[in-house]
Amino acid sequence: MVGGDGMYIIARNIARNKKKSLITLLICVLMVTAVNIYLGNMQSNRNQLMSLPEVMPVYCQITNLNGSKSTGIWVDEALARGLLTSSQVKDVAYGIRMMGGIGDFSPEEWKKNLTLSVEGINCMEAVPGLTRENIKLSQESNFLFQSSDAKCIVSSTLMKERQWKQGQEIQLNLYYYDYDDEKGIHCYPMEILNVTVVGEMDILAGDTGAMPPDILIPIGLLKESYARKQIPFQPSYVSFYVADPLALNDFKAEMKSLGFMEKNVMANDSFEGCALNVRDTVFVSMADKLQKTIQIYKYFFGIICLTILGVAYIASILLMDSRVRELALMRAMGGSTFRCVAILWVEQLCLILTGFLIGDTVCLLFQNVSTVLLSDAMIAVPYMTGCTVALLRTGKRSTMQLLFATQ
Amino acid sequence: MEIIRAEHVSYEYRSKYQATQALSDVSCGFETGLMYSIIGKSGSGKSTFLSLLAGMELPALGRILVEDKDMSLINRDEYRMKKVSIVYQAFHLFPLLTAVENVMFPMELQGKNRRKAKKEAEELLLSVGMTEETFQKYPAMLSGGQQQRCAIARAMSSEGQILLADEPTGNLDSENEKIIIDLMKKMAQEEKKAVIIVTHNEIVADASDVVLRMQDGRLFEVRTK
Amino acid sequence: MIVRNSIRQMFRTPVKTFVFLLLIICSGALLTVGANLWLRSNQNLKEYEASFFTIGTVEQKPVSIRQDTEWDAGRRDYEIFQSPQYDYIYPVSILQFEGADYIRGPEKRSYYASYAPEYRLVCSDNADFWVVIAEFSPVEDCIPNESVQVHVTRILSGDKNLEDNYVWFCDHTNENPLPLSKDKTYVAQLGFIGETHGGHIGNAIRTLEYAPSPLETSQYTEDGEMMEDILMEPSAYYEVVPGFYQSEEGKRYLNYADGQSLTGKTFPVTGTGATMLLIPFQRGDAYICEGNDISQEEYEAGEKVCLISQTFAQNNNLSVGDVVHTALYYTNAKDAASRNYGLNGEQGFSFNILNADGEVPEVFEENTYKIVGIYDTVLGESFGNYQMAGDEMIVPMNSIQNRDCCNILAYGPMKGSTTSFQIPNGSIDKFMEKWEKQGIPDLDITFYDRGYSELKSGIIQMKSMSILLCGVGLSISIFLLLLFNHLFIAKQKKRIAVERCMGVSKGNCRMSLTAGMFMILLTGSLLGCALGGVFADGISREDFRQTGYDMTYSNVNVSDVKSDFEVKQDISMAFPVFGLCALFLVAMGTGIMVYNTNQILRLEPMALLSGANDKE
Repeated sequence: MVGGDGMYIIARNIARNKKKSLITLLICVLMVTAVNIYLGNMQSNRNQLMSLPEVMPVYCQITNLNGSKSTGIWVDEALARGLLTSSQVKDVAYGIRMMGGIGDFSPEEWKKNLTLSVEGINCMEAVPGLTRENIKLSQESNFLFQSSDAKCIVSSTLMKERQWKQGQEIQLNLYYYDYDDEKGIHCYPMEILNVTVVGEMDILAGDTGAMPPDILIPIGLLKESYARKQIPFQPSYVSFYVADPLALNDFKAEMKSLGFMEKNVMANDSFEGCALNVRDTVFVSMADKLQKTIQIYKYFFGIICLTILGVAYIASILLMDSRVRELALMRAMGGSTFRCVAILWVEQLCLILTGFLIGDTVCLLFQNVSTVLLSDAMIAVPYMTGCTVALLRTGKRSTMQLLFATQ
Repeated sequence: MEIIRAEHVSYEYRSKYQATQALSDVSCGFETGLMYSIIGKSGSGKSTFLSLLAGMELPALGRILVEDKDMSLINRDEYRMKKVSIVYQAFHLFPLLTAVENVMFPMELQGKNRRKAKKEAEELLLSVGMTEETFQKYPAMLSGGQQQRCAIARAMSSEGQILLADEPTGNLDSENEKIIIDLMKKMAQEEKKAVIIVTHNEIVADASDVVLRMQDGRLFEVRTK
Repeated sequence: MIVRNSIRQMFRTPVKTFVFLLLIICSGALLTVGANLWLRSNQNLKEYEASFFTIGTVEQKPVSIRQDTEWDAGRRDYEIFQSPQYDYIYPVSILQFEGADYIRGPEKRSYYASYAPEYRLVCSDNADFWVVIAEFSPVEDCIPNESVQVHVTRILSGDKNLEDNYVWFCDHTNENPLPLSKDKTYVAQLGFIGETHGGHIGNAIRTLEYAPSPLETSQYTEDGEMMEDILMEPSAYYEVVPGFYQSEEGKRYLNYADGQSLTGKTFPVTGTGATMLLIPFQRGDAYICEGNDISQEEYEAGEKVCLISQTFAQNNNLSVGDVVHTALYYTNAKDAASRNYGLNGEQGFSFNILNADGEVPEVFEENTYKIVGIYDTVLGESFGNYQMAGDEMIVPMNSIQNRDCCNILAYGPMKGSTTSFQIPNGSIDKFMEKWEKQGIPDLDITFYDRGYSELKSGIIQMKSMSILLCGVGLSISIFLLLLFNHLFIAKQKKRIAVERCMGVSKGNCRMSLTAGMFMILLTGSLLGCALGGVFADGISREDFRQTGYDMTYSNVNVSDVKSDFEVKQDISMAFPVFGLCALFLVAMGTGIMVYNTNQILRLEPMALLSGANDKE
């Protein structure tokens, strides 16, 4: 189109029109940098938002309706099951409290014999203050709280008192709690389990103020027991973390569909664990601010783009208009309209590509390639469009008119 | 009456890398009521000399006296506004002012009332042979001759006693050339202006009262008719 | 005339003039939109960063563990227990070292017990059933080195239901207890200690036994020195003889009973220098649900303002603006209030509510506080000592005149629940570097910063990007002004050359040149900035109407929708931004214009004319 001679003319034009060439380069560099920094800004906010869940996990607890109890409640079996199978939650810690005694005795003798607090838990985190360091396990055992192994961990106080040893089998007579609104809470016999003591638990009280259990057994073992006795398995306490706090609304929609209620401080005291307490204020507050910033950037992006495009378009028209005399003279000396326009057009293209090269080199330090290329296209299109419009407009007028106009 | 005088005037053009001696030790005087031609080849320094006479620059050496006052000591803007008017080869009309507005410009500059200035401008345009249809036309719509006449009318609107013309007929045909020369002669004889024309055209030189020849930046001949 | 001509000539190229105008409008719009964006995102970033607090807690580590033994009557053997030993209790002032950059604190908080019979408290219905002061008689002569049956004849303090009941009694921790005679009456402070044991129980049902504990006092001086008990070594139980209750020992039991009755009418008052220094607030377990937090100025001035719990407010029909009276009668300089006053009203004390004279401490300060805020607490057993206490009231530390000096019944070293400070976010490493130079290994410092340390680099990047964007935006505006000047003046050079040749003075030429430019600049700037302002304002309103997250189930149900007041503030921000941007554009544009014009007019007309010819 322009040929070798044409390229020479283009190079000479660029060199001779130093100011105008520099202006074109600067337009490209500044616009590309501006767009990429803008997008980089948005991205850095997004990155911050993505880091939040790891740093600020959202902890949830099931409570009674007025929120006064989070332990010693009865969590509906269906709710518990729904929670355990939900993909929106993780690290579910739950347990069930029971009373226990050693050996076989009749229910009438419960006062004398039922002196032990027993808890079935699914993980250590279910018991406040309990960590691996607190538990001394016998070397042979590989105790998993999730399992239904007939094993138990006993508090060191009880071990001393009863003079039990690790590896010893004990006959644990379990009673479960039940309640009704009239009679309150009562214990009922469940079954006798033969469990092996595989570990000793240090004293936990003092750290948390909570009453520590005497015996811990795997939740699976208890679940089987409940199932055998056809008693609804209703955990006494459930806590968990939101799997993806960024999808908090999806999580809450699922919780609503499961049937969890919101805490109502005016409600009467009860033992039914039907309300959900989500400790998300801090996370929401921070995530909300970040989301708002990202939204602001998104909304502003359109206008800023339009403005930048407008500027690119107008600037190219004005720059081209200032080259009208050159175009007129080229045509007066016999150059075809097409060739003359093409030379100036390619000249502008070369300039903006150089500008993009400079701008992109800087932008690639903090932005990815696809975004940089997208921003290049965003600026190239209106700029070259403005250039084309100006040149075509000029090209349509007669040479004579152009020459007289420049005089 | 001698109105303007050059004494041992020298001037050189300086760029970043070189200097060109345009004028060397030029001395001469110009009187009102006479038409002067400064002729010479291209590069002889005629236009430079004219520009110095117009007060557009000060000579590097020597001095120019206007009514016995050194030009370096007077307000040259005021001098160009009130004492001198210039006609250019390239006309240099304001492209976005109409013919009559171009002619009115110097009058308005000197504080004349707009209405009066307009009336006078129209009369001046008619006096230089422009028709009424051309009054509201932009310079781009006028022919070369019309543009030059408009420029002369603009020059005539000034009350200055010096008219400088740089190749005023350079872009014109012979018919228009004659018209322009006659106008300039009229200004010299009837309005008693000192008309100084730079030209390489011998016809213009023949019509002048005094011919100054320049060569290589020097004035080597002054021939009075 | 010059100006008129100049403007007239400008209007005779309407398309070009309009394009120039558009350029300035775009610059103005870009600048205003950019300024709005920068202000809003900066504001958000500031609010985001302000959500982080870096709180450090301090715990003094014991220098050694002392092993003590205590007789266990059930096992008939000594039991070993360990207790931490401190050579010296560091004052909180040791944390004031050179280079320590504190925002608040450090402070070691005591809590004060306020006697409040006029208020309904969570502990009101909770009698301390675990501890009673009772008179009792053994059913037979015995030595209570194992569980022996006794008849409770009178309850001075505690569960009245025990009166006229038979309970099991053992001086469990005494290897050689004093014998009991069946026809004598004894008095003791009794508490549950374990299951019954020994030969006396026979086939009786195993149940819990009561054990006596001596009524020791524990009052401290301001410096933490324990004051001597007037009873040198009080016994675990005494025989009640005529006149016993007039003796020092007897009076003590009566006083203790009085003291116990006070605890059911007491709520704890914690003085602090900032609400955020209380870990439950820092972690979001406690939050202001009504009214406002106590301001920094109020804390510093020691204003008589307070935060109360929601339960306390509801139980006593109190709301923000009401007043609460306090009558402080003892100081606990060892533990946080939650150690002794549970959220649900349960109470547990490791000391007796008696001063060194064996008397109930007297009220040493009375105040009236105005409620500025009400807080709620999220339950959770997993957060231990970092919990609020039941009915705990928070007041500015400086509002308590007699702080840390009167009726100190418990004293201890710095603990995480009582000692904290705040440092600037992101300065943990710097702080620890300076702290370690102090060479005090016995103090453990733990920081809670809501994850700021992990997020810090991201925040810094956000700030840098924001500044860069601002810089680039300004550069674009300046560049566009330069472009405008360059192109506009280029068009005018010839005209100016001719005017100069015709004798127009430099001043008039300047006016001729700048008049048109200034008009475009002014009009374009005002229009562009106004347009930008309208766009920006429209976006901001849209933004603030949205709330991102579902707040169902949340521990704090605070709406993020701005109030009308806040929206009005944003509207009023739009005008200054518009004004400043327009002013900047006009001023900068004028400056560039004047500079360029002066550069042109510096040339002599001849040079100007030839330059104009060439460059055209």
